[in-house]
Amino acid sequence: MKEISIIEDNEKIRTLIQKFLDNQPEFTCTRVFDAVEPFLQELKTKTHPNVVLMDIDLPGMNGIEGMKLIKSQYPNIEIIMLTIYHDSHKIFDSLCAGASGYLLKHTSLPEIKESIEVVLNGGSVMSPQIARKVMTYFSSSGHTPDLSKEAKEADKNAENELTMREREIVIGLVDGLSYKMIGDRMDISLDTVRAHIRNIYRKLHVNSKAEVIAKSLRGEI
Amino acid sequence: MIFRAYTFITKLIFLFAIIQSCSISVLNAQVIPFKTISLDEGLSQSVVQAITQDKFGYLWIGTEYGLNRFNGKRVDAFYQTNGLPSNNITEVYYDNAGVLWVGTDHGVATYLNEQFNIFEGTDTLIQNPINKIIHHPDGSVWIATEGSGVWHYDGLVFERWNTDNGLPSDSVRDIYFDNDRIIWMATRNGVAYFDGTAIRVVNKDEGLSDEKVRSLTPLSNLSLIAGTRNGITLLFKSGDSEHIAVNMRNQLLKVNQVMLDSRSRMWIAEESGLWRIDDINKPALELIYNETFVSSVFEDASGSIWFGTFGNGALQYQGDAFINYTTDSGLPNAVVSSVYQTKDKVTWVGTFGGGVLRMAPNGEKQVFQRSNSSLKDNRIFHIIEDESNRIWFATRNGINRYKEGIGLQQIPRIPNDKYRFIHQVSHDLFWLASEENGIFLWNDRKQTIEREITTKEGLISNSVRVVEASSDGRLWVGTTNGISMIDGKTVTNYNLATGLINQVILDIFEGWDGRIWFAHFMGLSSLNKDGTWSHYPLEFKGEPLAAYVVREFDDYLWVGTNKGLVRFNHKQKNPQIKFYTADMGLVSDELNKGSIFIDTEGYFWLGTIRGLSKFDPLLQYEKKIQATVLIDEIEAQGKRNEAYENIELEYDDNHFEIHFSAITTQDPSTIQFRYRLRDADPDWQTTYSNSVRYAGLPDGDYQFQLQSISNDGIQSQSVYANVKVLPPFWRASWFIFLVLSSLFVLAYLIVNNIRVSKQVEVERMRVRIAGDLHDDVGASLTEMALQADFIQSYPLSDEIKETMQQLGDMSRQVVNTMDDIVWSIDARNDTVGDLTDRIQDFANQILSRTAIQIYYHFDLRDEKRTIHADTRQNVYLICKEAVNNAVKYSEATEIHLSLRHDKNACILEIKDNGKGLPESGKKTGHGLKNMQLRAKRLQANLEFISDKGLTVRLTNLKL
Repeated sequence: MKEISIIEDNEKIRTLIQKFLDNQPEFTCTRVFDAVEPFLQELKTKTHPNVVLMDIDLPGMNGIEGMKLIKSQYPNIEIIMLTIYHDSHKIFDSLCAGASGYLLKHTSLPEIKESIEVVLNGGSVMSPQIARKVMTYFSSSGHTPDLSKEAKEADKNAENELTMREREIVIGLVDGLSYKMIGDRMDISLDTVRAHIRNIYRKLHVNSKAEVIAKSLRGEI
Repeated sequence: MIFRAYTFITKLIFLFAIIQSCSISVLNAQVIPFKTISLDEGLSQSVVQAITQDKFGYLWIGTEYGLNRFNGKRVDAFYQTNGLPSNNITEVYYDNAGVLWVGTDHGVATYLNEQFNIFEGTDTLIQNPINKIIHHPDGSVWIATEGSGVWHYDGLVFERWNTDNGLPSDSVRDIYFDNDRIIWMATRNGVAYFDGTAIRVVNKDEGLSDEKVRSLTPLSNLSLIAGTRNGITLLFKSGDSEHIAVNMRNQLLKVNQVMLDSRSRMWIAEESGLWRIDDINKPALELIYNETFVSSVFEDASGSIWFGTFGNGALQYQGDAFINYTTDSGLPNAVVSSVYQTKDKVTWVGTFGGGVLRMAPNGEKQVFQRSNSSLKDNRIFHIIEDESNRIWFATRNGINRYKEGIGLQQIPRIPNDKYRFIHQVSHDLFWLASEENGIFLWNDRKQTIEREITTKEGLISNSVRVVEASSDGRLWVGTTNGISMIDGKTVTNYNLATGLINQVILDIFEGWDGRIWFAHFMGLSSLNKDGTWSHYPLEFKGEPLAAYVVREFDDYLWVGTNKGLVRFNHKQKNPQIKFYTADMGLVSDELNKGSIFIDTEGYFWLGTIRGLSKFDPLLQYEKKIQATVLIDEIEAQGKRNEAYENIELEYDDNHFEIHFSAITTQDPSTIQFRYRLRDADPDWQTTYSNSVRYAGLPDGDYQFQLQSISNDGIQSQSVYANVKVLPPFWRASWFIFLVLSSLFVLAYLIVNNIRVSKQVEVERMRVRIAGDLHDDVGASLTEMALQADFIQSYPLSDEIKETMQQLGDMSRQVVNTMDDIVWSIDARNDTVGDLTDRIQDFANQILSRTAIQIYYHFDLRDEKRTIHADTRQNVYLICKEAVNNAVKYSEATEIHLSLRHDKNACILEIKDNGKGLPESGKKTGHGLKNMQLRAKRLQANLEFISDKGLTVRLTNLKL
């Protein structure tokens, strides 16, 4: 049984998603929060959920800052960002901060469940708008703000550059191919495409970590 | 010209003689900040030969290739093609009449009303480089050249001074007219002067440091400074024609220019760098910059010093306000998390990852790290000095202490924890703030914990950031979840529920009036003496500013934020916010939590994520000047219009965006704009953005009025633009159409708003709805959609289920429509690439539920080019409509979507292999009409071609 937590300040939306997920036999969803800070407090003493659905605009610490903190301390918690609109800038920022995926809040409840399952199976999804941002990010040199030499060196680490295969997927997405078409073209399954996308997100997060170090001084570390 | 002040002169001679023995102080541990304008910033070339400023505030920079105009943000370059006689600019001079004079290696041009005119005669007469252009008080122009003497033009004829009529050399670098009507000239063979009767010469025999004289600068009525290839000479005008030259000999200096600034400091532009003598009465030569040849030095209207270099462009000196310390100058790590200076001027710098740096007053440095000392952790949170002059370090893994003569020690009996903050209560008692376990009172004499306060004792959170005691003895604990006030045994808590606007407390400071200031992620809050709260949310360009540090100093609040150091007077009603930013010399815009120290001389030491800055908050010599404001262009109906054009807009398409800028030599992002639409806006609006949008105005004539407010709070004069909105042909704008057809409720909300405010305000609100209110409405609709889903999971009759399904679909459709609107209004999505991405996102989403295959053919040679919001919106909606139609009616199996170039325009094509357009006579619906309407707005042609499927083709599309 996988545990899902929700951090969302809109009580109705939060409760609706919670009740629905809690009714699913494969999930439990009882711990919900209206801000990042109490969630962090809870993690200090209690067990950690497998997946967190988190709003971007939260009172106090916003979702993106909060995500950086959560991911820096509890890298194993998968976080799915919730947003009302497909604001590709915010979504991209949250992916850089360590999100495993994102969902529009008005996504139907069964689809929300499906997305959580994709993430639990090690996959993620990506839209063309995000794919383009990912491509620009990885192709431009020096994509991290110059903070410290260590961070720069970490940045040069080849492990964190995209592989040919990942690049192919991103280009395919920018070209507007569906996952199925990409899978057919590369002769891999849909799940493999999703797993590759997840790995691209992971690299995005690793490469953006220099920022985490400095900014999180305000809050954690 | 009778010499009287003999004693004064001897004193001066004496003092200048000292300079020779003065050692040159080079600041090696510190970094003086400079702002550079060079190739990266758009300068035409990096060899700068001359700098001046015009009355509007533009900085004019002459380079070896091209003349440049800098407005603080952008450089515009001018060349021969713009009307200059040559591209090699050797001199720029701005006269009192508002004319800019440009000297080149082949003639002179004047610039007035945005036009260059060759100064006639100079192009044929003067074939040599121009060294200096200057107006005589009688209005005539004097032009000094390299190799053809001095030209004098009185408005009628050119008169030439050269070796034939008594000049010692034909190469003249500088000219100066003194109050006694003597004309002084710096030549390659000494200083020449003409007193109305004859040309006389001062040369080495009279004590001039070198015959090659490059600049003449008045020092007083009695003396002037000659800068030569071999030093500086003070010339005294004593007696009728006698001159004493006192040599201030310094073999090092190959002077290009000497300048006295408005604070009487002497700046020396020299072949190896820039030098300064702060006080002529106590001269000491200071090296300011030594990277390359410095050709010239200039003081702008705000009192800021600029200098031109060979190879590094033009630089602004920022060392008056800031002196920086970075990893390059010896910091063990760039992230400075705490700083403290002792009475003996020993500076302790705590870093986050590099341990502690001890800087002695003599510049000696020592680094303490885990690898070379007993330091508990290289990540330092806080440094204090106790009453016994011991330095305490709170680290991420315990506490250390340092005493002169003893060195660094550990404190053994303190529990292992992350220590955020130390507060000394009395000689032996310290409050220690921990990350995990609240705070506890440490008795250093007994080595025991006397009291613990955690959530069990009522503390609001165990994750403590800061602890301070107020003068009445109460203890204030700032945590990630709010504030606890401890008064004896009682604990009072403050958080969001009690009205705080943000609960992550980063700094606490007791103000002089007894109120307690709290810095948090949204700005400042204060708990006043009477128990009420005041909140000062800080904001920049719509984003909240996090406050990491707060102090009260010199009648101001000083707040360290993520946009530099911010200063304002909270006692004023609408306080002017002044920023001190990285662009102004601060080592980084992002300060660190609590990382500030105010030393005994009143300097601020500020820890940032890129090093440490020492800042002078009392810059008394700052000159407050206004920033000239300009309307750059008005974007309307996809066209860019000049500000002076009178713009007429159709009623049903009256969106326009006004772009503006201000001219400043300071940080342009700190300029605030104040604007209104006269007779329509009830109040002035302010913004830090460089544009403002209006949409859907009622018909009528409007005048847009704009002013700038400089960082110092000085308001500029107004500029205006006129916009006329023509009376309507039809009334339904696209927005209202969409909203009404989408949801009555939303329309009701807006209509309700229209009733309560003037229409212009509604339009502003309409734009804001896109950003802010949309979130609320979007959230409500989302709730509705989810609720409908949720109800369906119950066992209900099919009829109800279906109704629920429809309700959910409807809500989602409206959210999607609003998503489109939000997208189209968001200026971040302004490129062709963003548009095609959006089209793909939409098409993929809708087609994922069908078996239709879609193929994209985007020729994206200019995917990074920006396109106007209207164009973007219209093209997107045409695509959307066409794809929707194909999905709903065509029964196609394939869709091809293409966007390609065709001569100067683009062609957009949506082609399917379905059954084509229905027979004529049948209802074709709103869709096609809508598309036609949008095409018309784009001034493009739309065709529907029904041949083996339907092709929707948009030609002559100007992106």
